[in-house]
Amino acid sequence: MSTVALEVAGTPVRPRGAVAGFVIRLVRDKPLGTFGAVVFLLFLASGALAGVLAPYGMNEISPINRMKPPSLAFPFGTDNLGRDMLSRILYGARLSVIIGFCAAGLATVLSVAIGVVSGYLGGRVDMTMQRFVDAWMTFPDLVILIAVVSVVGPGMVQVTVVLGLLYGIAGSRIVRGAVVSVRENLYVDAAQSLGAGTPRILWRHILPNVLPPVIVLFTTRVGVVILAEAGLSFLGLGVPPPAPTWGGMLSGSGRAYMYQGPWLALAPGLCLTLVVYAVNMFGDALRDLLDPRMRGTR
Amino acid sequence: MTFVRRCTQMLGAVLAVALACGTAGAQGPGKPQYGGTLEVGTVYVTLSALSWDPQDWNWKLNHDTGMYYEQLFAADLDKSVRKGGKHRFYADAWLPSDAIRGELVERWEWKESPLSVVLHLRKGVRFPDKPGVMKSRELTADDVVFSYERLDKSPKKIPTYFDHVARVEARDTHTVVFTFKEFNAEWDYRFGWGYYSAIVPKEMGTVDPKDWKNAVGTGPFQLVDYVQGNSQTYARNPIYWDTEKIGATAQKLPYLDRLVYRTIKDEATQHTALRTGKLDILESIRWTAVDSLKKSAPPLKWSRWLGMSGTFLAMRVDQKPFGDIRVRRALNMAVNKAEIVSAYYGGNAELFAYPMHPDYHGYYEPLEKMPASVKELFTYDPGKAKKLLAEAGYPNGFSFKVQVCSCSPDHMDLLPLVAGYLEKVGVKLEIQPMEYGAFLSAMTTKTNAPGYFMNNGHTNPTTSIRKSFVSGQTWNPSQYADPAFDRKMQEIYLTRDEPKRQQMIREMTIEILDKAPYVWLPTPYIFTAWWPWVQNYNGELRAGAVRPGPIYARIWIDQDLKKKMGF
Repeated sequence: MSTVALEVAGTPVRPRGAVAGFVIRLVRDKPLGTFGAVVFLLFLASGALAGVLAPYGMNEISPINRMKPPSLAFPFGTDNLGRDMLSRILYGARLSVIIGFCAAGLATVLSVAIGVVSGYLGGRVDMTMQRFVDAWMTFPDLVILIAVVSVVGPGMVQVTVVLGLLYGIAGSRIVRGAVVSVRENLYVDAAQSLGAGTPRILWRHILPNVLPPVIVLFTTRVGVVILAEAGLSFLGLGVPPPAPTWGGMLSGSGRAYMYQGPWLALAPGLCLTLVVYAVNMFGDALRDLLDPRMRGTR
Repeated sequence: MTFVRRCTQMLGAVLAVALACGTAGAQGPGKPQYGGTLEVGTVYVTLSALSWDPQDWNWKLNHDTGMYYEQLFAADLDKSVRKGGKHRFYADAWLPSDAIRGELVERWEWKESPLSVVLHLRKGVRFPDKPGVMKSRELTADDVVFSYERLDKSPKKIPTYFDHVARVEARDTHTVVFTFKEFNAEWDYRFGWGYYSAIVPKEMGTVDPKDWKNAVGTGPFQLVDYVQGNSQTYARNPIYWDTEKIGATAQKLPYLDRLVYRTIKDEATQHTALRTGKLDILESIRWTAVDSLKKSAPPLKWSRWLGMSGTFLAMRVDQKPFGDIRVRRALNMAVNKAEIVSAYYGGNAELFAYPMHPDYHGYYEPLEKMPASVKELFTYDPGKAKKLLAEAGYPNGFSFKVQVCSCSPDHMDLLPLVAGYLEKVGVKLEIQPMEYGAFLSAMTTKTNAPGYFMNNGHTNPTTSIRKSFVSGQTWNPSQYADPAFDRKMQEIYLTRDEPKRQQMIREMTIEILDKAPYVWLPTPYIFTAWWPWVQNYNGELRAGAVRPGPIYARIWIDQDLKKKMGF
């Protein structure tokens, strides 16, 4: 029996083995994406298991061991307060995972809410909402971030909410585009003819069919949010010390002791680079694999 | 190519310095050269001006306006080490009595019944032309009276600051009389050379004094440009009255055409600016950067000085749990201060130098001479700390919010270290970094968090105690309030005999240390560096309360040397 997905009245049928097939296609057709996925998973695992993997505490000071270069005892060296860099990188991954996922999740929910309503209802509602989104998008991201965080103050919750709002509103454009396209399908007309209400149509017919771009949006947003949070931390507006955010580590001891201890900047800098690269590669691969127009191409 | 050119420049610089040192050694400081611009990263390099109006009672005012607003008294810079004297003039607001000279005042005398001091102003001191504000005219006694009354009537005045003054009058054009209700040991500091002593022209009453464009004074420089967060530029006052004797010749001051304060928030950028000659002087450098700067810029000259401000974590004694002295003492014992000195500061700090500074001879007692209860606070004992916390009802510790200024790289590093120590006894800190304006405002409005991490200037022996530990004072972030303590402070001010005052201050110092409203922390040594073309300078920082103006007026730039060094 063919495992080609069938669409019946707009509801995609997921054949068994689709996930396995997807993974096979990923590994076979998108090696960079696979690499990205593996790194991303390692990053998630490190963050989740930081408490187990880290040899020392997040803020376990040991001034007597300050500024030690990488060694067996301290694989990534120690910082200016004698804290183990490896442990701080791992706990930093956890912070980044939390902030990245929460903010990206919030952004995605917001993008879907705005995009689906705006794209489906159309007309004046769509026009009004999209003009608001236009106005929002004219502001440079970093300027808004700095302005808002300067007012509300730095902190994990504040940063997460601000990043979620910022990228959620802008990302609604992508979802709206997908919804506008799906809205024109016959099964939507059919559902309307059968008397289905708007909420049911949105939930049962529209949302499932825009899920692929939403998933891609979510994964790419994770990378963007991690980078944005690093930027805020670098400017001193992120999660306050002694929280080991990668951006904060770069901006603080990484920059102040660049000549005396280059490992203080190299470790968080390289991790940040690797994770964002991995997330972007994985997101690209995901977009290609989930796009129906790309099916059948390598 | 850039690297090769930089190496060549450095080599040229080293050779030029060797040549200059050789000739300088033979001839002394040399003949002053007029002209040039001095670019300074001051001791408050991360902070822009906070106010231009003395009526705002802002601590930083002298630093920014002291180039044009002069005072009745100032440091006698002829007594500096540079000139063969014994004073280094780096104290933030302390002038030993043998190092004070009249600035706008030529001579003064005390009178009894009523107790008063008669000040005779210098003649021929003039305000320059300032379009829109005033025409050039001579300074008069009316300006001094006006300046005092403006301060006295300000709603932002520090409580009790002028309570000892009955009245201030202009007897004639050049004579001012201060009549006192009672003697005050700080009479000359309070309105003479202290933080709030600027003499402004009467015309300030007719313009907006908060607008820097209206600033005009009798000083060696006048403010000509201000870019917030970037720079303050001062230009020579061509009619300035003061001179300096170099050899047998009285040289007209200032020597420089321009003086520029650079505001640079980022520490790495400050060092780069110094290294590349964009800054001629950088007044405040942490020890961690010294070796690297010495390697990358060998010709730099250096001075090291013990910080003139205490570092501490203030605990609000008017809030739980810090109302309990056991908690406060426990937190002191939980921090390994000796390790902070040896490891964090690399030995470049003193364990005990606040609230009395070791330079306050007669007022300061070393830790070894302190009672055991005080020494205990400087001894690392987390076991005893936990025991005290348990006795106070916190066997599992507690958490509290601490505000810290993000403007201080040292504090942003040190506070997480303190947090690490306290975490070991179960006390968790929620650190809230703030920009300086908001941070300072939290303290001055008494809305600061239960923990407040700051530096506070030593000022002088009596003010160090008064401003931080007398009830209701502005610079009292722990809200410490003890009427008996306040009475003792008042008694000190009435005491004319200095040895007796010293004894009283020593006793009050022990008392407040014991009461531990702060987690007392070590005081670091700080470094100042300057390029060899900066002449007639030896690292002096203040000629009054945070007032460097007279020092900069005496600096000249050896332009030939600067060119030879490739800058």
